[in-house]
Amino acid sequence: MPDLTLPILLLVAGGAMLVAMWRMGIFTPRAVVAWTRIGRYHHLTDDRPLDERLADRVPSMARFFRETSVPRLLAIANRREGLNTWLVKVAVYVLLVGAALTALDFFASVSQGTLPVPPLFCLVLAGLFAPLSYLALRREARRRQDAINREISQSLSEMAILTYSGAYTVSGALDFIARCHRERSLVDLMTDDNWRRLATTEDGPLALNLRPNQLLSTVTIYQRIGRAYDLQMFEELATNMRRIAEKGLVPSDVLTALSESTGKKLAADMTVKTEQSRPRMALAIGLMVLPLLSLLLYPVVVALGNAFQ
Amino acid sequence: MSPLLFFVAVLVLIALGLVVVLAVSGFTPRGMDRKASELIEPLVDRERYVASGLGWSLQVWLTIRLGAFGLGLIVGFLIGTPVVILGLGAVGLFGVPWWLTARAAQRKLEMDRALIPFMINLINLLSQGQQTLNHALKDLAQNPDPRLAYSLAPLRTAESVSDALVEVARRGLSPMLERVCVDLMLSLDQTPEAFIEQATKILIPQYDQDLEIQARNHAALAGGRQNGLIVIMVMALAFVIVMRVPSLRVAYSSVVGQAMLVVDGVLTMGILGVLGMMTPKTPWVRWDVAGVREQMRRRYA
Repeated sequence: MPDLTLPILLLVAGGAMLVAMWRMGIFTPRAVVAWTRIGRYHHLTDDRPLDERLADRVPSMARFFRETSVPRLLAIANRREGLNTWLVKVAVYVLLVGAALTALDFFASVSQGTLPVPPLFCLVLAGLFAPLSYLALRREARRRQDAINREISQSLSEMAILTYSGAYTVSGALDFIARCHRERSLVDLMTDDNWRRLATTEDGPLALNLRPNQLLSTVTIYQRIGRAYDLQMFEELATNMRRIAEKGLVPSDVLTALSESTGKKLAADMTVKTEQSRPRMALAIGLMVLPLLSLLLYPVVVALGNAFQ
Repeated sequence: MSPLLFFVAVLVLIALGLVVVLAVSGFTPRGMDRKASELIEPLVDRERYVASGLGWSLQVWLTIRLGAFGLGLIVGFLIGTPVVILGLGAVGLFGVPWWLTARAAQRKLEMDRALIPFMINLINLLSQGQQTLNHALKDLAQNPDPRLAYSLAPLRTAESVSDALVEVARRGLSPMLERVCVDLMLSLDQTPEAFIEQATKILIPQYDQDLEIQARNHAALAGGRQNGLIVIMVMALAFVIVMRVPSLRVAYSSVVGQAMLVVDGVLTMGILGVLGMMTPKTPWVRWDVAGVREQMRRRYA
């Protein structure tokens, strides 16, 4: 069979060159280029990045881009670094692992006289650290979301006590209790305008009615935080605060009722999780077969090996 | 080009790239220290929780853990084979705490159960209309439920009730007790009537709910432990059977056989770890009770 490496390499390089030429506008008619230039000058063209424009047309893509966006995950995880710094850090990890694996390979080759695995394999293995870092970031963001939701849902009674005498508003009570937890996720989100990292821009129809510099009500801010950071408890709180403001309800009563319903939901979740975990646990117990078989069959294998020798 | 030179070239290039990237990313050893302390703190907290659940101090608990590990190693050395030394060391290090943690969790749950009658007694005392919340708390602490006696001890002789509540939370180390202390601290400046109404309407139903979730958590953990115990018992039985049959035991007398035993042990511990991970747990918010006291003081400053 002929060696196809060179044709495939040429094909890939040619394809990449064609794409690059298309992106540079080599194939675009001169009239279109001229119109684009004029349109850009008069703000008539859509200069947003490709993913945002694509998301506008395909809603499922919008959800996908939102869920997988690294800057958003970094903000939710309360990491100070930007996208570029994160990429550099991932590169550090990949290089570290690559260096360690190649060094191991090197020492093994020196001691044995042959190459255990090709160096390229070590580098490919190290490259797997990049998706691992991304998964770790997602997990960290998820953990912080859970922590903030938990901090609010398990403090509603204390907020009810604080608002009972009228000395605190709901937002004041939330601010108070956020400083009283050992976990710092909620207080970190609420202090120093950290919530603005994601929740300043509102992509809903409401934004059309607001001037860019307009002051926002606490309810709107909580709603935006809830939407931008996917924090269900902030949305619940905002809805209940709106009810308090519009219908004149007593805050401590509303918070007590919310606490009760959240507790019931937690208990129901717990029941569901327990039921779901049963087959998984049975599977884990089934894994016991592995060490058991290994323990019982090893002497048999040894005996058979000796017999054949 | 010889393979040696090629390897050296690749390593030097990677090392140079690493130095450049580290310099660009602003890597500092101090950040690593903070990360390490963030990792270690929950482990120490967990040990402290178990120790307080058993009614011991952290030092006593850690000494017992180390003692069990040492004892396991000594017994292993007396028997002689490396696998037995390792196995008994692992039993001392993980098995004994695993067994005692169940006892600690049970005692904590019992202590949490005693908190609701404590609150009801507090309401009853205040309903008589002759005492403030501070005095009623000190009164109740004089003759407490035995399950709460150790935790409530600071209230007996306290000058400042808020300081004593901080100490109570520190001794109890239970999320529910911490919550009760925070609620009491937030209610200290209210009239007894207001507290009675709040406690009846808000707090006691909340504690009931908390207790129910705690009980479910405990039941799930106990189920997970039972499953773990089944795994351990079956594996131990199989091990004993194999070791009592000379023709089977002889295969394990070689170095490879010993290594196989270690692998089996690691696999069994891995299954126990998987079981632990799969047990559903509801995490609780931990309150910084001293922080609440400071916030309350700042409020009136």
